Amino acid sequence: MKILKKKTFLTLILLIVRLTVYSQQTTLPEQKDRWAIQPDGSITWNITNRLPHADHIEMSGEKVSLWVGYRVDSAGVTSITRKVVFPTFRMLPDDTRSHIAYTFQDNELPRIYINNKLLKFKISRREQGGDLAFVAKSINHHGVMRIMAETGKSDPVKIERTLFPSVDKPMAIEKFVFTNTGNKQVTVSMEKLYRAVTTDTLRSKSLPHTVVMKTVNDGSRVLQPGRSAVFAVCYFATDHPEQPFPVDPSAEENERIKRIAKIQSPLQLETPDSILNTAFAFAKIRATESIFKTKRGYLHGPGGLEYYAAIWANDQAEYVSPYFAFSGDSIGTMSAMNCYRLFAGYMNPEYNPLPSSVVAEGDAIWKGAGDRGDQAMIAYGASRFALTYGKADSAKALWPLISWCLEYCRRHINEQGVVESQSDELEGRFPSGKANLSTNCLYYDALVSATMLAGQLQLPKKQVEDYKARAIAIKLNIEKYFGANVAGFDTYKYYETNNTLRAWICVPLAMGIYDRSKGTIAALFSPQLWTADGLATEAGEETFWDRSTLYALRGVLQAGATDQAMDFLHYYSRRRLLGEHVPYAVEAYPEGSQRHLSAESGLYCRIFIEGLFGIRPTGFNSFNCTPRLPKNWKQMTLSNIHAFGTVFDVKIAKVNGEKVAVTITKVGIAHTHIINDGETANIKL
Amino acid sequence: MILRRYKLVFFALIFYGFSGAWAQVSFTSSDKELERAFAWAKEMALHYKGAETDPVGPWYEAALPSRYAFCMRDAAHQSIGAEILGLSRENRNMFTLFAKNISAEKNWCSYWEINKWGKPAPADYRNDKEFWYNLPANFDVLFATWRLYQWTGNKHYINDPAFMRFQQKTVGEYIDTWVLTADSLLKRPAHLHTPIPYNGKDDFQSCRGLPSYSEGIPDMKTGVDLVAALYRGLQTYADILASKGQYSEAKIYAAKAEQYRQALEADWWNNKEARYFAYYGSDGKFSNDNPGPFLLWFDALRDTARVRANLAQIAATNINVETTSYLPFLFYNNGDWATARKYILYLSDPATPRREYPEVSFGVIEGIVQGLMGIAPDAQAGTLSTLFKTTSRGTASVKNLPVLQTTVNITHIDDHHSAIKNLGRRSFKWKAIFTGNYKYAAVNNVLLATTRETDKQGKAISWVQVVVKPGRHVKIGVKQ
Repeated sequence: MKILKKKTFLTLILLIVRLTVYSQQTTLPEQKDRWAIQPDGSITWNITNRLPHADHIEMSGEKVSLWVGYRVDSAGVTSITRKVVFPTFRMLPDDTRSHIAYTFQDNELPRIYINNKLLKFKISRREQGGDLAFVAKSINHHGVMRIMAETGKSDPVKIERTLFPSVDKPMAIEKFVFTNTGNKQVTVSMEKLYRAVTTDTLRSKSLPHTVVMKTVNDGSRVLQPGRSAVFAVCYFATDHPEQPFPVDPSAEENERIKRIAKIQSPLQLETPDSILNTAFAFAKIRATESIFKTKRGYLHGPGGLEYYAAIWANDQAEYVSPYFAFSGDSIGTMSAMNCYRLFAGYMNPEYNPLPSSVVAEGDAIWKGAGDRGDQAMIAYGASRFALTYGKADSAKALWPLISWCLEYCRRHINEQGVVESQSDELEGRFPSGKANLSTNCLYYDALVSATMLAGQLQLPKKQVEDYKARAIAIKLNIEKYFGANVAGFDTYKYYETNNTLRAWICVPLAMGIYDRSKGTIAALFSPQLWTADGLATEAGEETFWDRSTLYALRGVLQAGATDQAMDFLHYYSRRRLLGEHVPYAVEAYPEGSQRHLSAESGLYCRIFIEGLFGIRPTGFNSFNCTPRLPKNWKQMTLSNIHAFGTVFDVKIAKVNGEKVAVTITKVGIAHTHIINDGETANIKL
Repeated sequence: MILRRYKLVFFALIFYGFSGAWAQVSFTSSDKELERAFAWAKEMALHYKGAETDPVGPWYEAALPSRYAFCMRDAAHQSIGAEILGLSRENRNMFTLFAKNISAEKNWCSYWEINKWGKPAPADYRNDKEFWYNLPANFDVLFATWRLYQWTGNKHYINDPAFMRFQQKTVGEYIDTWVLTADSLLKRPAHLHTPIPYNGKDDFQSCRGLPSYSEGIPDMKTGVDLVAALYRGLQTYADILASKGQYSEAKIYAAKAEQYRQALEADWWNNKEARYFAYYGSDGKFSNDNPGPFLLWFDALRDTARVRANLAQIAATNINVETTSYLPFLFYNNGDWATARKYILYLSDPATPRREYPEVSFGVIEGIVQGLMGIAPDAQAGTLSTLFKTTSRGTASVKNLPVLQTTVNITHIDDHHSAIKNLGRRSFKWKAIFTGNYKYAAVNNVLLATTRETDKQGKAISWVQVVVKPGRHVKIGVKQ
């Protein structure tokens, strides 16, 4: 009796301890927006106060990537650094970073005069003396960076300075438009500038590369009141500097705007939350623009001044290519197919691991971190892409790669029934043991997709059943091997001997494993893991990688903790879109100082497609839809979806408070499925 | 004939050797404790002089002795002590190496620590992307080269191309790339230019660009010592430009320096606790820590009440010998002469743990010569100031002191009589300063009117300035 009492008491204590741990709530920091959403979908920072401020953004075209670092100091002086990367102009030996890149500072710009007064970029209004200061009034982003400025004196001249990459040329452009806003004529002139540097012949791949900085429309213009003049500086690469390289800055800008509009047109998110709608639209730009036209065709590249004309098993195969299957962007889907084709080229009968990365336009590989679980990443991404893309011929082309990767994983299952890999996508930055949770969850989801895909491809039933059985087995073994109480939360240890909370405990949720969803969600949003910038990679560490936050937000939505997820999703989106470092999801900190790696933007879009709308492909023309409509929203729509071999809209709406209507509209014909909140609608298109 | 030539060389070498031994600086005093402290410190410091055959060239230890190396912070601190002890060649070589090794690949850092083999010390360096570096170091070295110029009168320290490049890169690209402009100090990221992949547990990655000399504080955006270092670095550059007649540019840099000093007083003073905050973290909060010597070392404080508070906090804190070794000079320089003397005796006491650390003996030499004896050269003006900073009656004398490209003997006979002898071949102006309000000074028995003013602590001082030609002996006594 005494023992029983003691036991009851202990159980009670343990319950209280657990409840206390679970009840630890993260208070989201107060947010103060620097940027504001504009009616045209762009964002603007009106430079009035809160100075100094510095930020950076990357913008890409098929042959160039333009990184712009900008700063406005407390005296109002604007400084700009341009780093221009030419992904297909490469040096020897081939490696990940063998592209050429050059930096251009403000002090290298040609001199500009307004009414014979020198326009200076490095002086403040107070320091201008006999010269003119460039006084920025606002900065706007929408695929083009646009700075609105005026001179620091009474000369009535408005300056619009835009920076953007060419859509299809190895060139970045900085365009100046001077507008006379007064009632007297104004003379504006820009000095002619031509500066070229040619790479060393012996170290250059193919031919020596010449990088040119030159002016366009230089000379003097007399502006009558109300009239404008366009001047530009362009930064381009060529292997034939002797040939003319005509540049029309306005036409280039129009092409860029058209390309952005083309990216924006399909897959439109409409919710009552304008921050989410706008952040989604921006994410589409970054995810899709970073595709480079290489000698192996279109290849998506992460960017960040480091990673171009190269693909990775995680960034491209796992993160962004499944997104392209929904994106409606033909270049995006071509890049996805090229990515999987390139990896497929390294399959081998010995089942040696595929490289983690294929670099230098496909001419070299990188496998420095060993098997990072790359096969599981590729199998997961390729099978999801194949189902969603909805084209049997493409799926057939991808099937050998998918099945090879799954077989590779099967061959690496250990005695405890989980797949071993040497590391994960963090490549040893944080410990991952001999078998980790990410690799195994990806493998599980890949098996689920492969089961469906094999059925679609009319493969033998035995094969289909085999994948099914393996999926069930790995799910059980994941629970046995990784399921644990960590730091008081019923969640997962990331690897066998792991005893600290890790961000990647979110992966099971994103892969449809909800056995420990309650404890896992509590852990993810606890003060131990959630920081001002999303999830810390490991509890107590300052390091964060957005990819795990992006997976977590998707996973928590899939698991059904909608309102909890929405608070954090809104917070995260607002910080990335309107905060101090905008407008895209980032790679990591401290590593790389929060670069705008592009595949993360694909992951951001997938939060909505697969999380909020709960779209899980099940066949070439079918998907499950488990919508997570927040309680204070009446409806949400994802329209102009190009997927499953067709074009359609998905509208989710509340019906009578309890039920949810899932309306699929295709070629003007709508079909509505009424389901209970939290249930799944099986959609056949 | 050949034999005769070698004979000449032989005698020359003997003479040089003897004269070298003869010319070594010495200190005598009626305060026998200080005299013993100097004798110990001189022997200990010279023991750290490198071998002539070491690949790095002339050097002395200025780091943990087992590393056979010199680091930027320690060398900057030890440099004047070394100059007093005749280690001029060593200083010139060591600081030239620091200056030459600043590079874009290292984000305009130099090598934090160079060893006797002429390599970056492996304890602090793996490659150009992975190494230990405290950001105040560039400004500390810049300030040291200016003080070396002031002490020696050797313009190499400000005009040599390697030093000029170091100056320009430090006040330009280095500040920009590490986001150290005055208006960015509270906004800059705690970590910049991390290598890829980044391993936060690897000191060579996480400590490449520590924003302070304080180590082990995670997520620090800026340390208060870095603000002071930036102020002094930019002011030093302004002083260098002004010394070359580039007054308008000097004015720009002096104004930039002033922005840091104003930020220091406006943002970093903890009014509630009457002390300076130690650092500003990624959490957007200022924090306290043990007070360090660097606000005073970089001479960044103007408000005497805050200086006194800073001194009192330092005096009330137990700190390691490295930090304590700055204190004799700093306490003498800021008017607390009795405490300064106590620190000298503490640092030279055989019972003091780790008194063998190189900075300690050099700090004692500096404390006695620049502190107690109040010897302060000004190369631009060609002036040597003296002020006996004693709290007791007695005498003190430094002999064979190399300064301003000559050698001098300086004796403070008491607190209102001093004498100087110019043993070298170069004239200088002696600015003999005495504490108190005196109308006249007898210069070799000729009466001159003094200039009377107050020092930075508000004490009355009287001074007179005379030219001391080579070979001349001058005695000055002040009278009411």
